[in-house]
Amino acid sequence: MAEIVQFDGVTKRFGGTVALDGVSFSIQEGEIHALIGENGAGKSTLMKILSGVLPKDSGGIFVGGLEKVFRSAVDAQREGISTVYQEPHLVPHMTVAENVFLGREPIKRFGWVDFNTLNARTQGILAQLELTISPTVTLADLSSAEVQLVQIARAIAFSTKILILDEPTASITGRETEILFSLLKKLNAKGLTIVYVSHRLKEIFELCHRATVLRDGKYVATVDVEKTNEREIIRMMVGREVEETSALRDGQRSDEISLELRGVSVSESAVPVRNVSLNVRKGEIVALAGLVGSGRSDVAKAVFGLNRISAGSIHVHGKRVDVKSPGDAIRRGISFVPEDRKSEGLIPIQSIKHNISLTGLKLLARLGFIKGSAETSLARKSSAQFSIRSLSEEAEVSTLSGGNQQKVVLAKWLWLKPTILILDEPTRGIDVGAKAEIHSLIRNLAKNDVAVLLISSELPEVLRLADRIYVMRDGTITGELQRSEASQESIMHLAAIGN
Amino acid sequence: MILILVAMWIFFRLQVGDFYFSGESIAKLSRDMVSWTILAAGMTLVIISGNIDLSVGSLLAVVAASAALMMNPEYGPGWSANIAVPMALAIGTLLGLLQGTLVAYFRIPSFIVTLGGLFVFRGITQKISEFDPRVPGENWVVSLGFDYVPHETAYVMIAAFVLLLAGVLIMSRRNRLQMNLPSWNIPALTSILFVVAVVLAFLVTKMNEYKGIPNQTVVMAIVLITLHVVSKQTTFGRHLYAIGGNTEAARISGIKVERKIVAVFALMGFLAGVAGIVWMAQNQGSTKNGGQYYELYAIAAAIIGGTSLMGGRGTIFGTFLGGLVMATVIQGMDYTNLENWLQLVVRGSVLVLAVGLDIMAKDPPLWARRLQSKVWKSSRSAS
Repeated sequence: MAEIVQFDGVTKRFGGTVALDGVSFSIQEGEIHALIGENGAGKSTLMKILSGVLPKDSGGIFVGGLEKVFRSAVDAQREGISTVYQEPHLVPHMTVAENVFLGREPIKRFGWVDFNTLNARTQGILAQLELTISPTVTLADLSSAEVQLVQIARAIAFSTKILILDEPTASITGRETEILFSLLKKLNAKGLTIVYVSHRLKEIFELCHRATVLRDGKYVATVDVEKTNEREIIRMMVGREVEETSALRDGQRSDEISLELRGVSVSESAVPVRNVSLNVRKGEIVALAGLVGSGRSDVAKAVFGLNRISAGSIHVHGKRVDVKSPGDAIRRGISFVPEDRKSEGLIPIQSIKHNISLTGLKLLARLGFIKGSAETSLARKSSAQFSIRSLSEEAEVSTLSGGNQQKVVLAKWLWLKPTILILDEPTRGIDVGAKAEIHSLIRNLAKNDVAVLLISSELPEVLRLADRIYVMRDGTITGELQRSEASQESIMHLAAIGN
Repeated sequence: MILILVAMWIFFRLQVGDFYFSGESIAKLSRDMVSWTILAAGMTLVIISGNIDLSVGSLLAVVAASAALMMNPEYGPGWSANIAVPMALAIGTLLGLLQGTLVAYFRIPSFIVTLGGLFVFRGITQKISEFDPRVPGENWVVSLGFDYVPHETAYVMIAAFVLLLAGVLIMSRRNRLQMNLPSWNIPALTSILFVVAVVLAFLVTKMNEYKGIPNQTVVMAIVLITLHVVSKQTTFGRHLYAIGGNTEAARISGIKVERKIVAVFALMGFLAGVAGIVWMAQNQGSTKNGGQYYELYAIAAAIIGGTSLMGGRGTIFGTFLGGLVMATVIQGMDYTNLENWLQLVVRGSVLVLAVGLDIMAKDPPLWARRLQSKVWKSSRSAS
């Protein structure tokens, strides 16, 4: 097989930090090549350079044996390189066909868009991909997986030779992933070269032929997927062995119930919650499992005063409470790490320090005036405790990697010393190393008598951490499992079918 | 931004001649910017919270007109300033509170609420100001608009200010060093204080050669310093930055978002009141069209000073610099004897240019960076 893309000593700096440091390897024609590494390893930067979005500082990129310099994404597209980004780069209020042809609409006389050709050609492309999406439906009416497929349709619509996918499964479910993979395999069989950026190792073993590992901007190795295993790849990504402790914690559990929901219903939420009863004991980790959209987050938000409950009652440390607002919940010793750190968890344009102190500014102030030194020492202590890696606590949060951002979210909630902690997808989209750190942190909190309610879509995570598991489906609880009786199959059964 | 300012001063000095740096000219510049710079300072907080207030010009006029009417013996009750001024400020605060309530609890975009306010308050002003009420001469409000700080007091004031600044800087340096944070070294610190002291001393001496520091300039300074402290040092200020930076995250962090929005609009209303009183004092009464377009001056000053229209970013000090830029352009144009239409054209162009240059310096767009690297390369290969 011929080498279709060759990187030769590609280097890229952002200010003082080296994002890519002399990266050299090649991608062969017709393969599915995985690019893996922790967040901040430089995967996305390298792909942005290949697709013409970012200029490189030095080094060369060869496509089909010839050196190419891409000044824009259009340049790269002309060479047959298309990219599907992690977050959809499409216009929600336009139709599928308009999105597929965005920026290259077929034109009639006087610059009018030729909608007949537009729709017909889109229909053709979708049919080729064996997709049953209508070209005239508005994008906002599609599921996130369908939007992902439309992105791929857009990317390969125009004589594409190389397709780059950046974390395409970040926001879609397991079944949708299967559809995506079968499409990718089909396209690959027809000769399309695919570069697959991900840190989900399972997917790589399922889909890819070869994998290149980056770490801290440096090239580590390229391996044949068939000749390696997860353990070896993780070691290459992290640079050390990661302990996958699944050791059962000692059973010394208190009988004291910290948080209890009795027949709670929420009618105002996106997914109506019906008659949910559950309890979390002091020092216990209880998982709330279920598929995306089963109402897990809405239950959490009800406890935290973000949703009003329409029936039932919430009890904190044995007392019935009416939580009116997040401030109210915080005063009762409840902390809530929300699902989406960018839109709910953090203020990206502010410093680490200001993000951490925000939850309890009053505690750091006298007569409304913030005590600067108290705030700084808090940020210092938290950064050390959670090993947040940054230049200083005054660094803007948006400059941190996903894992470090998530640690800032945890820090801002944990310095309040909550007795009840609700975690909504605490490790989504972060790398293996940071994930392991956060897991051991959660265990330690439970050991120190915090009642933890863990919401997670990752079943291995649930099974590794939880003492007990409630499973939700369609806004209600379909079952409760003890750790001893829980398995991926039993949870999925309750989540997908009920009982 | 400071460089742009200095460049403009030099330009106008060359154009206008000696008079440009005279005490009279400086005093006039500082006086003319007072009312809308006070608005701009409040506007900065409103914009930081992710909102906008288009009504401030009309709000200023309502307060000025109602205060003037209350004090006028012919058309109104002829109350003393001690009653009329607090009443008028209360009116401004209440109107701001009302707008804030509509924004926060009824979810009407602030752009719409305050655009409505712009018309409504202007209409009310026209009614109150029907007879263009004058304010009788002998009271402290009028002295606010026309009198000057006694010369000795002025020196004491700047000395006190410099000492205070020195105290604050030294304290903050000590705290930061204790925390092992980077801070100014002693020479930098002293030279900053020295420059500030010299500039202030120069300005005061110049103004004292004329009549002194205008009283209203002192009002502006007090407002700016207070709001600076509020924005940087208080929980209220920090909450505004948080709300503008990410409303949802702020709400989940336990901040009562709605209340803070109402509060910031009420504060804006109060400040529009202060600006209105100053404006009334300057004009010894009110007119139907007082403060027209001031909302745009205020927004411009804030944006020139680096406040982000997206919310979450901005400083009072930046807005002060932005106000200076605006005032310099407006006043400089007046001196040049350009025709009115041309003044407007130049004024507008300079504003776009000033902000443009600032953005180019801080965060150049891609094409500018490419151009720069090309020029850089060719000059290097040439040498």
